[in-house]
Amino acid sequence: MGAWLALTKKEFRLGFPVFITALILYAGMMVGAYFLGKQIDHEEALILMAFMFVMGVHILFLVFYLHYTLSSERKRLHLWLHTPMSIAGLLLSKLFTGIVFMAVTFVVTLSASSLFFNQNIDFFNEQTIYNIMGLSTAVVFNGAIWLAVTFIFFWSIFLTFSQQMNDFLSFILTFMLFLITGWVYGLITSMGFVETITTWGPIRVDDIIVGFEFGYMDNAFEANTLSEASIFYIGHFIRDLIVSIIMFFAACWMIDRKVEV
Amino acid sequence: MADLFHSSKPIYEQIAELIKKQIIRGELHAGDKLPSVREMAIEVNVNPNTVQRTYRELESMEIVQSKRGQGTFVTGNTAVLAAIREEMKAEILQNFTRQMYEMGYSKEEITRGLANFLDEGSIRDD
Amino acid sequence: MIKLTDVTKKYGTKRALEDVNLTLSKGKLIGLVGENGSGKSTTLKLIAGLNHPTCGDITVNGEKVTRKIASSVSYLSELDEYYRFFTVKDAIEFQASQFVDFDIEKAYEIMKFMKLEPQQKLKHLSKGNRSRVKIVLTLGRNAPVVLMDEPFSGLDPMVRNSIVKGLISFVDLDKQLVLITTHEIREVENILDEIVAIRDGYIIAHHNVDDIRKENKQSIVDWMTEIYA
Repeated sequence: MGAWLALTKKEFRLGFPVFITALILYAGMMVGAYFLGKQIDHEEALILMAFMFVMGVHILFLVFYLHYTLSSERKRLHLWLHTPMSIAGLLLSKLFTGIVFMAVTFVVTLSASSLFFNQNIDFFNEQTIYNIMGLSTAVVFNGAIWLAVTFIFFWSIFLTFSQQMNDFLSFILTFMLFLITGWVYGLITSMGFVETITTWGPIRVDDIIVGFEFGYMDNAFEANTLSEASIFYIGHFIRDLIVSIIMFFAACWMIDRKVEV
Repeated sequence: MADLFHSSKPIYEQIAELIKKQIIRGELHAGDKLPSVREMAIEVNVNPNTVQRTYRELESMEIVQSKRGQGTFVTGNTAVLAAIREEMKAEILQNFTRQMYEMGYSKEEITRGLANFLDEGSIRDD
Repeated sequence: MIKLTDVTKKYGTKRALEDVNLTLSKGKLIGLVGENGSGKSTTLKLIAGLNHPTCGDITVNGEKVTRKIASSVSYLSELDEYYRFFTVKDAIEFQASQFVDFDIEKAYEIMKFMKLEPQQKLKHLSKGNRSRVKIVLTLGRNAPVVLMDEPFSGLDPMVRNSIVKGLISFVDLDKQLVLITTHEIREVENILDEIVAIRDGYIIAHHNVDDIRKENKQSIVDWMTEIYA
């Protein structure tokens, strides 16, 4: 455990530039939106759009982070892999620091925005704001982790290919494999019996926001959240969870057995 | 540093040679403690195993004695030390005379030459 | 201690090692010599478990080598890549946290011997000093096997000398086996016990160096010139 914590401390330092970059980028976008909005006199709308955009980008944060940190380890695989620690331990340390960085960036952006919304925006009630935030948290983190594990899986495949051929070819092959796997996965999950065994444990989420509608009335933007009752299935969540775990350990196996320095 | 040794002769023998010379010159006396294997290794820049081998060889020639847990000591047996002194002298003389004979000097020429040489004091005793 | 049995290693279609059988015993400083591309680095990486043999068996202390052998093998790469945001102290502490056999006191002793300062950042160090840091990190471990890939290459004589001195002073040959690859044999010939010569993936000789000097009345360099001729 001590070894893992020390490793994680190193990961924080290694990945710090990504965190700072993201913070600056997000702040830049929000501030930019504010000033642009002020010029055309619609700062609330632009801020909101910038916020939604930032959240969208933020789903990709973990993937960017992992790409950065894994690429820098790739230059020194002899160092990264020369350890008695399991590959799972090495990767979890990266995933963990990535999630922490992501959460901090998220919280900072979120609190800055909520401060702004509460003060300046009168077309949302507090309930709606909390709804937006709660939902974005769930969607962003769930999506980010799923994407991150997928990235790790295909990165290991890429690394395995790159033992035999150059990076460009490895990338093309990996990307093709990614598309094919995605397509096959889509087919499998929509197959009748798979649907039957995974579609269970429905959770009704009332009043969930599925979209926004902007209207221009009386020189003011009006935003309405379109709400409808949605149903989530625990079964689908479990299915994705199992697939991520399989991908994660497959990645570990590849790095352990197939990747050479 | 690497030039301390000839590269075509076993290093453990060359270190043994060094130690013997120190004994003959009186820099090491009967019963003196030799540097530890590691100290010696660092001093002459060789592998400790090589020094270990030197000490082993010297021990088998009864020039040194290793005392368990205390280190390696020059033997207290002065007869052995005197013998080394003689041995070394014999060796040098042998080399010298062999070379002289090879050049075709006669026995008389060698003794006379050597005596004159020593009388002139061309070389100082150290 | 280290045993390679019928080991062949191919990279794609290129053959790096061919049917290598090699047994290295404990308490020795062994030089693995050969030209560039002869298979020296590959041999070390295989023993470190960082590369995997195409066929054959490798064991260290009787244990089959996998990547986890890192717990008993301390490997120094020829690459000059380390986490550059670390200070010398950070690097030592990180290494200590990752390897239970790391001896912090010994590491600081080697650090002082190598004239490094704990607060120096790695990114501000010269190439020679970065190599010294690698030596500190590698020899700081009391691992039964120490593998060093070209520790002298591209370094000036001062640095090379301090590394040789460091090896003699800080390797514990009662417990450790050291395997060094080099193509600068002059640098190490006085400190080696054994020499293994490799050419085009084949081991062509494995001898005690003093035996070579005694039996052939030759210097190691002359001997090598002869066997490679």
